[in-house]
This record gives sequence, structure tokens and C-alpha cells, in this order.
Amino acid sequence: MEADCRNLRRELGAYLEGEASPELLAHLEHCRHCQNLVEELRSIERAAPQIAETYEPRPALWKQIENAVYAEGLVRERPFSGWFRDLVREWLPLPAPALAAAYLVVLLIAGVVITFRTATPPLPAQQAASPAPPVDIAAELTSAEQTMLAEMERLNPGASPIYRNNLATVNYYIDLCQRTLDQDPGNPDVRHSLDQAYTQKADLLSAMLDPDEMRSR
Amino acid sequence: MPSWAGARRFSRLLPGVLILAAFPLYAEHFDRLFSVGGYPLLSLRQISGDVVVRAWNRPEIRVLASVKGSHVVADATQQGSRVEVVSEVVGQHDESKEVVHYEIYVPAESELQLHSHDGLVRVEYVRGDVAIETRTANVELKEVAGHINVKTAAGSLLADRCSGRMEVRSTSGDLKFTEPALAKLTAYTTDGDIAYEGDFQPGGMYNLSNHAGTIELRIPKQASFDLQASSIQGQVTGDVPAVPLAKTWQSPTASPQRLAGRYLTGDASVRLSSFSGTIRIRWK
Repeated sequence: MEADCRNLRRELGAYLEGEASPELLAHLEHCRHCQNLVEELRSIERAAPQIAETYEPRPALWKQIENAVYAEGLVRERPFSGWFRDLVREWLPLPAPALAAAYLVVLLIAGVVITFRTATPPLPAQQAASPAPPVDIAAELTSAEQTMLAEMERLNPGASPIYRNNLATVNYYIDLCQRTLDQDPGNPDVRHSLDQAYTQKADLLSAMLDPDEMRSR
Repeated sequence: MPSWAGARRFSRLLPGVLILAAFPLYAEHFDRLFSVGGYPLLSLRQISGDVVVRAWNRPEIRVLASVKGSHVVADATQQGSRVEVVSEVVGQHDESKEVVHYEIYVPAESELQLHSHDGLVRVEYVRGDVAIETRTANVELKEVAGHINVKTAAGSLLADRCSGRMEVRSTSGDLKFTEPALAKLTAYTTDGDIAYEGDFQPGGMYNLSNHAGTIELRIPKQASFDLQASSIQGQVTGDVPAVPLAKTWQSPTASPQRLAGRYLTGDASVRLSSFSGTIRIRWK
């Protein structure tokens, strides 16, 4: 990636809102890679209302997440819905697969917090600790998924193989799409395919978090 | 005064009577009727068994349940225009043996929220918002109109003569649409097949995709639509001639199989995409 490209990426937010420096305009005129990126972001921007509607989980789930987040002491003053909206707004300029992955991470980590951590409240010393260090999202995601599967195996052994097999199928295609995308980063068909796989994974994990599914048999 | 013959007969029946007393037949039925007005909501949470919901022309919801299991309870309650039907396994028992079959009649204009793990979910002639979630239960829709949303982990879908808007997602189930009149359809299955047999609505948008499996369109000769079909590592085949559209994006390094074209006046928009599956477009 050229230095000019990196500069453009830093100013993308302002650029998409119509504030472009002459240097950026000049760069955009000859850089096809950045033209494609801007076009892709604009298409995401246009589709954003639809994406938000599609990805909106059940209101009850948000309520559960909100309660759990308050109970954990993760949020004190600002309402959770506002916090999530800010997060989405922050991540909206990302390409569609990244948005789906972002949604997935929020859903999964929140779900794991609700399902497995509410029974063990943090100690006062932990609550007073300084802000947590940056999290390795990919590792967190894999770890959370494995925790959920193990917990379902324990609580609902009848349903566990179904989710395990279906998650394995989706993970296989996520991996395949990701590898294809690494070889051909600009391919919108592969991006679309990766986005679909992530969305399906989010649906499966959301279904696993259903109280009926995570109830002891 | 009891005779010896009567006593002997009773003594022969006694073991059976005792067995029945110890192991009652756990087949239970109930039939409940709820008066509803306006646009009622039926909410159902089912564990295992078949669910059939049909529209009828009365302002009532009727719930017929057949309970087959010793540790499952089923109940139907009303709160205003909302009727809630719940099956629940009591204690820790194998769900697959705790079966409840439902036959439910609702006013044609109703909202349905159906959640079932295993079995079959069938909805007929309902007009309204229909949301169905299943784990492995297959879904069958017949002449359902409205906003239809189906999510299933491993179930399949058969939608016959449905209209309105439909979104369907499955991981391993097959999806089939026959004679649809849908203005908008978004269907995805990770590694199942998708079959669409019928015409498109003018102005309609149809987005069918999978990662593996077959996507097959069988369309009448009068179908008018713009087509974008691509399979990244699979094949796109069609015996239907189309006017090529303007050149679309082409990857410089990959060689995706794609077909883009206009059929008649291009009144509808159809996008078919697969990762490694086969896409076929044929005349009906």
C-alpha cells in the first residue's frame, strides 16, 4: 500500500462526508485501488439501513445483554443501546464481512458474558482495576465459541451435535472464503460469500444462546 | 353377592389393571378455543412434534394438541389478542421422546411467531407477518402472504405459492420455491440446494445464494428480469438466451463462472451466487 493510500484511509470519514483535501482528490484521480475502496464504502453506506434492519436481534436479547452488561459493571452511565449504536456507527465504514464479523463478536462475547459469567461476579479489587488491555478478537471469538459448544454438550447433549456440525460447516466456508479473499482481495463475490457465512454463523450462535437450548436436560 | 366365576374373571384382569395404574397411557389431548379480534398474534414454542397452522374464516384461534410423552406438558393461554402455546419438557429427559403434535386454526389475517426444535412446521393460507425458527424441523408454507422470515439450523423449506416478502436462512437445509408471487426474496443456505420454479414479479428483487449445492431456476418463457449469476469455484449453466448486460466487474486473478444478461425487458432483478456450487437456469 502506498503512503498516499494510507493517508487517504485516515481521512476516509471526512471524505465520505464531503470534506476532501486537494491532495486526496488528486490521489483519487489516479489510484484505482482507492477508487474501488471508496465505491465499496459508498455502497455499504447506501445499504446500511437495510443491514441494520437485517442484523437487529430480538429485543429480548438486547434486554438480556443490557442487564448482563450492567450487572458486570461494564457500563455505568450511558444506556447500552446508545453504546451499541455508537459502536455500530464507528464500525459502519468497514467492509460488509467485517461488519458481520463485528456483529458476531459483539453478539458472541455478550452472549458468553450472559450465559457463563453472571454466576461469578467479579471481586471488588477487579472492579477497581485499570482499563483492560486490548483484546485479541479472533482468539476471543474462537475461545467463546468453544466454551459455548462445551457448555451445550453438558447441558443439552441432544442438540449439541447439530450445532457442532453446522458450525463446522460454516467455519469451513469462512476459512475457504478468507483464503480466497487473501489471494484476491478485491473480489466482491468472495466478500459477499464471506459475509453470508459470517451472518449464518451469527444466526447459529444466536440460536444456541436461546434459553431453551442452554437449559439443562 | 359375588360369584366365584366373577371373582376368577376379575383375578385374571387384575395384573392388567395394576399395570395400567402403574404406567398410565401418556397420550393426552386438548382442544381450546380463544376469541380474538383485529390482528391476533399466535406465539408457539415447541420442542418436538408437528405443528400445522391453518387459516380459517372465524375470529377465533383454536388449538388442538396431542401430547405423546410422559414428561412433557403443553399449554395454551390468551392475553388480549395474543395466544401463547408452549410445550415444555419437565425435568431432564430425552426431548425426542417427548412429542406434542399441534393443529391450530387462526384468522387469515394473523401474525405468527413459531419456534420449534424438531418435527415439521406447516403453515397454510395465513396472511400476515410470519416468523419461524427451527433447529432441525422442516418448514412447509402453502399460500402464505406477508412478511415471512424463516431461520433454521438444519431444516429445509418448501414454499408453495407464497407472496409478499420472504427471507430464509439455513445451514444445511434445501430450499424450494414453487409458483411464488414474492416481491422480494432473500434465500441462503450454506450447503443445501435452492430450487425456484416460477415467474418473477415486476420490480421484484430475488437474491439466492449458497456456498455449495445447486441453485436452479426454472422459469417460464415470458419471465422478464435482469440476471447476475456467479459461482466462484463452480459452474453456471443455462439454456436460456439473454441479451448481455454491460460489462460487470471481473476479477483479474480468479476466473469466476458468471452469467449476466437481460431477459425480455428486465422487469425484475435476480442475483444468484454460489461459492463452489452449480447454478442452472432453465425454461420451465
